[in-house]
Amino acid sequence: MALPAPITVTEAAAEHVKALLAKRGKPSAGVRIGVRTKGCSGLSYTLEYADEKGKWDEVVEAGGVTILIDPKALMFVLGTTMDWTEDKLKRGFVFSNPNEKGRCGCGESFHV
Amino acid sequence: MTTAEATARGEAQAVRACWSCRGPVPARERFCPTCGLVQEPVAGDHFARLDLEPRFDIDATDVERRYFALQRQFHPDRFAARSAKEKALSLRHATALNEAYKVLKDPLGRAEHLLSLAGRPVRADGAETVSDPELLMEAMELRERLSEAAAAAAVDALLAETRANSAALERKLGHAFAAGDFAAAQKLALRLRYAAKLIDEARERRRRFDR
Amino acid sequence: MSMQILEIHEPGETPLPHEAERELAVGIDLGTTNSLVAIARDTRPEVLRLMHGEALLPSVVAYLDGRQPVVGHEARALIGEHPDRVVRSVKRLMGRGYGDVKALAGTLPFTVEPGEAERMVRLRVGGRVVTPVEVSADILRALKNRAELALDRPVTQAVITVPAYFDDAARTATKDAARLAGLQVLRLVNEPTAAALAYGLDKGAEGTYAVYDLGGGTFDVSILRLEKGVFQVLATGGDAALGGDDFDHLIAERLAAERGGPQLAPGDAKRLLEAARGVKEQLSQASQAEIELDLARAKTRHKLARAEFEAMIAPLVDRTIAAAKAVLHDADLASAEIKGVVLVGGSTRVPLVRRRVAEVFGREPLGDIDPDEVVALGAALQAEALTHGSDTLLLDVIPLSLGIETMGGLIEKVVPRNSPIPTAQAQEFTTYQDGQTAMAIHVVQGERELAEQNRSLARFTLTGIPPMAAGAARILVTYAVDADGILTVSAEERMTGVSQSVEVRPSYGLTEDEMIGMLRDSMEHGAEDMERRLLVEAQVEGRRLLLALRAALKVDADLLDATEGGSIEGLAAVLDRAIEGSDRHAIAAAQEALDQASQEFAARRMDRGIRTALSGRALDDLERRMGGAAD
Repeated sequence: MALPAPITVTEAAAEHVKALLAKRGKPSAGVRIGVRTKGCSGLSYTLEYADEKGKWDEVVEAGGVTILIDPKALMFVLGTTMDWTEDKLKRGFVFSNPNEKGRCGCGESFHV
Repeated sequence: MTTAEATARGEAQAVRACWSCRGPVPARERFCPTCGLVQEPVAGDHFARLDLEPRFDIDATDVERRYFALQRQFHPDRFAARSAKEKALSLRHATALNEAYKVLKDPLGRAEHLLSLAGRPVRADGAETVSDPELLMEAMELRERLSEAAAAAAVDALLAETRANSAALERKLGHAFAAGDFAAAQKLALRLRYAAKLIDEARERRRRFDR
Repeated sequence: MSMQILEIHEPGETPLPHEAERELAVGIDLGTTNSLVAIARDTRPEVLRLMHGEALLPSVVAYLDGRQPVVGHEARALIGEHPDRVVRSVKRLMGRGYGDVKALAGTLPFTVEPGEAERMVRLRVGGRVVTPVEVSADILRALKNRAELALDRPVTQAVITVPAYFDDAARTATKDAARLAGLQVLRLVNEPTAAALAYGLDKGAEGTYAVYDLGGGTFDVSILRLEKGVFQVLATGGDAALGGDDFDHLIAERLAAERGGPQLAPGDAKRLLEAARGVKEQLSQASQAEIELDLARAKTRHKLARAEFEAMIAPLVDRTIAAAKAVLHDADLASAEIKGVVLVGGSTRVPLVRRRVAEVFGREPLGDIDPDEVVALGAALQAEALTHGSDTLLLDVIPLSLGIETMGGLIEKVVPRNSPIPTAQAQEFTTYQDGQTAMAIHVVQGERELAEQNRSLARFTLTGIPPMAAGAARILVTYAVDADGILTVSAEERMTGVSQSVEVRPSYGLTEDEMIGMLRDSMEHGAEDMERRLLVEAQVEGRRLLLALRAALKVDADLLDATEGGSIEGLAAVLDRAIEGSDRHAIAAAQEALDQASQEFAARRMDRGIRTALSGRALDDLERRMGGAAD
């Protein structure tokens, strides 16, 4: 039975993850998406290199890279799309989240 | 709870204006769907406060789970960095949740609350209490045994007996409410009230033996 | 839709949002003997120390002529030379009236200024008269300074711990002290609850735990259930006037009796107490203590065996054990149901205390936490939770019943002890005379049956009752206890809707005028702190409005034409800039302008909401937008 992947990873995002993992210079299991209960409206994302896969991590393979999702984060990121954005001022990964309702106005946290 | 059920309970007809963004909020929602801020608590019974159907037989762990989940959202600790109005609203929600949980987790509280929702309050001071001579006799006899208990063991025995009696009453209350027999439930609740009072007194007496 | 942009970080090194600008809130354990300040970052708490690593700040203040108050070790060192200029153990007087302490005169290391029985006690120190609130404020100020040095930024917010058994008056006094010291109290947390929080989060403990907290001057025992991040206090009890200080007094009396001679001057008595404290500490390690006293120009040598010391303090320890049993009883638990006992407070180092606690709970107390630091660590965790969000939930209770005096001096309980807070209870009264327009209400706190045996919290008169026949008025009095355990009383005449709210400034508290006077006197703070707080409040309020408006624009922007939209956007930008600045009047003005300009928009949105509701689509539609999160 094929369940849909918990998140979608765009090609651009996968390319940049691959490049950053190569640059890190030490073996990695992939990158891990987590959620931390901090910030002015409750939660914030974390995106970190993963040295090893956590026991309960959800694994998403896309474009040749491994994205791990912390089970605590799963319910918050389910159905999001991970993309890469780049302009004159900022570059980084973005998640568009259909579950998202409120935003604290600072762009750094959200609540579900 | 489905919309139809909520409507049947007379809660879902109105749309309120959010105090903050002034947008429409369905009356029973606790947060504004547009700006996400906490709203005034809605008038309602203790069951509705914990999103429960008004019934006697409820799962105690489920009640507690709902209570904790709602306190996690509304406790003043969640609003310490918020505006004064949000703090005040959180205080009202948290106070109401504490009261609802206190009433519903206790079978006697639950029974009395159901009866008062049905327009048959138990606490009709005086009149109700003397109308059941059998109950009076029973209560007087037990109280006499308690006052004569000379050792901790005697109080313990009485406590165990009264607790077993309470448990039986609670089972009967469950049947009475399930059958919609409020008259029977009223009588049973009154007996449960006497049993609870006796347990309190026995525990107080037990405590003195412990000193 | 603008999005959060993330970079990949090394594990555990993702910076917190707003790290640069966020205000840090500290946790403070304001103790009878020692005080501490701690901070938590990312649920890792640490005690803030001075450069040389000292964590404990002795709760001792010296008032020397022409100098700022001296706090801590330096003040304690002055007890020998200037005993009359030094105040210690002031926490024992928080929320106390002259009448409360008069009875203890002679045993207290204070010179009490005579006054009215039901008024806050005042101390004579050197040439000045100070209240316990001011002395506590001096200690808090020293802790605030220490934190600012350690963190290199201003600290204006704190969680302060109080004994669970502190009554309303003592809690209010603690909040007043913080205000004088320029600290905004985010929450008063009960000491055993704070300890359980630190212990539970650190050790991942689950189950039912007892916390036995014997401090310098107060004793608390609490039973908590720790489960899935919920810290639920089941019952609490104790004695707000029993602590390790009392052990010192017993030793001091013994030493004084052995020494013989005339009664010691107050200064020598304070030195004797310090010596007694040393003896107590020796006896926690050794089975025998020796000491040389040099008082009133006479040198004497003394010995005390641990067994003798234990016989002396046994009645006091028995009182704590009785309280522990009573709390188990209140929680309706047997000692076998307690999974662990956490010891808090320096006085739990006394071996007899440990033995008796092990006996009553049938298990060895947990020894893997520092009993001096655990309360401050818990306070710091709670301070972080309150300012930056958290998954844990603290559900505390009111330690002592609240009641009102009825006919014949009896008490009618309104809020029973161990009720979860916040709570509100209402009672209905009526008038007993025709045309009666006023009614006196006396609120007390305690478990005794007669009003006079309990703590009097406040007396006040409800006025403005419309004249009616006796028994016709229906006056509903509501007693609300907030999450700090502080009471507010409000009253409403239900036939006419006449209402009034009474902030209970307790009999033993400072009046608002006294507070304002003291704030004016403490020159470092006062105006500046007040201004800062008002600015933060204006910013919070401004951000709230912007958030609300932007959320509304997201769903209903089509209700505005281009001109209207542009004008609202423009005013929002003005408010945005004002919030970045530091002029609270500018923020208020910008907020008012934006609020005015968006009135019409709000009205149209409401119209649309109601029209949709009437067309029957409302709930489904709103529910979809809501995502079901509030269920």
